[in-house]
Amino acid sequence: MFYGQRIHDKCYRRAFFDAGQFVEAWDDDGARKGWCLYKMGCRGPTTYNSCSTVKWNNGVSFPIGSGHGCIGCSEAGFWDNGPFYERLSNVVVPGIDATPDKIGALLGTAAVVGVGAHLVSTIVRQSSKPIPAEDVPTPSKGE
Amino acid sequence: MTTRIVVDPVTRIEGHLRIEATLNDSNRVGDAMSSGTMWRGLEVILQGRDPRDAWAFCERICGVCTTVHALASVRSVENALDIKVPTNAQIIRNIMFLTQMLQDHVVHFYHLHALDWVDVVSALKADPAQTSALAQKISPSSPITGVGYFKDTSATLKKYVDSGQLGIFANAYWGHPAYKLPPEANLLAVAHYLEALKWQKELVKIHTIFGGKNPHPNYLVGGMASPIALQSDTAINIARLNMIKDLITQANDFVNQIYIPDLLAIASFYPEWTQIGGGLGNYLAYGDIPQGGISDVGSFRIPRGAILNKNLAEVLPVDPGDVNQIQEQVAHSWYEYTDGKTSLHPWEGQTTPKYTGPKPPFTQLDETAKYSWLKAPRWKGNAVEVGPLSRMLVGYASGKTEYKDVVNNALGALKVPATALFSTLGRTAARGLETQLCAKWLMDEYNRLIANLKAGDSTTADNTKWNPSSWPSEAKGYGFTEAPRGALCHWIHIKDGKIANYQIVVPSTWNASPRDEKGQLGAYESALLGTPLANSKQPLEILRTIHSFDPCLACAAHVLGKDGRVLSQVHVRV
Repeated sequence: MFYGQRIHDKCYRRAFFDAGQFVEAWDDDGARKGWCLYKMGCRGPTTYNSCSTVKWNNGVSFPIGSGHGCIGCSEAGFWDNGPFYERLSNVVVPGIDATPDKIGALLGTAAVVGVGAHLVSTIVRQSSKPIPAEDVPTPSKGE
Repeated sequence: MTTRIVVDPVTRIEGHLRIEATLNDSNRVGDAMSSGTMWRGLEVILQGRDPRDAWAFCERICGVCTTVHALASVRSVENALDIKVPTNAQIIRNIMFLTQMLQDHVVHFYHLHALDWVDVVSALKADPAQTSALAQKISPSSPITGVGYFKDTSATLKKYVDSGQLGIFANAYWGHPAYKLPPEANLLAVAHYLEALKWQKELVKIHTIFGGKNPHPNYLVGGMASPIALQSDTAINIARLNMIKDLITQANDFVNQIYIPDLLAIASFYPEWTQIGGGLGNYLAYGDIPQGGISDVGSFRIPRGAILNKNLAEVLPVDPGDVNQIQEQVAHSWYEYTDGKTSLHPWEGQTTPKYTGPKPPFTQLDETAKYSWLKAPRWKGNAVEVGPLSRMLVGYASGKTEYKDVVNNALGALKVPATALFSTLGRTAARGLETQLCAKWLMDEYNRLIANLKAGDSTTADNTKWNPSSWPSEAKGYGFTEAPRGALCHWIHIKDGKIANYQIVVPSTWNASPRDEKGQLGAYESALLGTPLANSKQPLEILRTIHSFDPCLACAAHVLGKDGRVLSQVHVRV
């Protein structure tokens, strides 16, 4: 359950993403209003973890809640998927030619950039190698 | 006959440390060697990366003194690019720094070091009523001194021991003759061991508020990412600030009502340890907690300087940017430098491994050859000690009133002269006294933040040099801080927007350093010389001195005869 959904799926800033309201620079007006950190490089849209719901240290906060994008630290090879502050549109995605920006430009609205990002990350998820059956742990009784 | 003792790995620390010590006929340590048995290699990982990302990599060197490497890293980039961080960001960093110092020192004292002095099994013999009387005597203001409280603690402990599953308390040297505390003092310490566990997980919420998580809170080149907007529901607002203030108040209570009284009470049973474990007598501190800009060294609450040969009459100036001052040597380290060089300033530093040690498993290392994965850093050619004792001595010798007050109070309470500081117990006491200062400063820094906000400044980040296109094609910088364990500095060389070279000299590189090209011993090695052992099969005394430095490593102790024969092998699970 912890790694079943993207941070972005349940992020409290998600509505700003959908509305195209982004932090454009550190400590700008959008940052103070808690707008989406996607343009500051946030990896929430491609990171499968529960930080945005469970949060950290007994629910006090999580990286996005304290104004910094997610660096995707639970994703395989995240350290070579940087720089951390470059928006995800710069990530080369296997199996698709267009970046989210291009998709966004084609469809012509800022909000749809988000749909592009979702599409891309969903494709990545689906195209990733399936987990061999022997590697899937058997749930213990009572789970 | 000489006996060689090998402690590898040393436990109740983080990382991998091996100590080999030779005992002379009077069962004292005649020679010692300290070997780092783990390759770090972060310097290699960082090459070619975006300098703004470096903090996130460096911070993950370790989860114990989390934040300090992030702080040193962002400062190195800011130093190279001449970025001035806003006042609020500077203060938030100070608050995070002090939070780390408090949490780390308390955890070290109770959870990593106290069991060298406190016999957990003996605590079972304690009378709860007498323990309560002792608790009230040493700390009248403590809210947890009742008979019932110690009855409960005793019952919890008994249940734990009776279960036969001692867990973290299994297989230590319980009953060793070097344990001197009466059962009541042992029970008191065990009770506070449990209290400290609960307290520390609350304190670190300060990191969570500003940095989103602990361990490994977020930092940012140019400031801090957490914006301040007092009426906002998402930024640092008045509710968050009030929560921080409450946590700081609790921290001051814990340190002053629990930690310091415990420290002084336990120390009073071990006066002989003011004569053991002194070591090099050379001390170094970079200083931290700026009140102005980071380059305004004179404004630091923790002053900068070096002391040589225990000479408290002179504090020598230190400059991490002077290539003639700090150099790392590899004569006894598993590295090689190009062109036959043996000593390099970190800006020119190289990280090329050259393992020449024996093929594992091996019985002992050869101190005349290369024997450690740690380099040997030297300040103007001198081996030096870093850490709380160095900072307290530099502060004391600099004539800073706050330092003089806490040191003189403690010396008075223990009825010992200032020379008692140059010892294992002095090191442990200095950590406590520094915690006392840090708790007070934490509230001071909080008040500074509030005052700055009231004055109308809510800026937390400077974006002017965020974009790499605004950077020069080449720049060098260094970023220093004082980690709980001592002086820490990162040196960076940026070329065309990427990291061309990055070198980290951590506190344990100084303290656990191997010999240098002149054969000078490192701080651990030197501090062990002359240490008496009551039982060479249970080298508790070696652990006391090594732990007093707060190395961060875990433990199987192999005690070897002169011929390398294993006399005993002890596993401690932590």
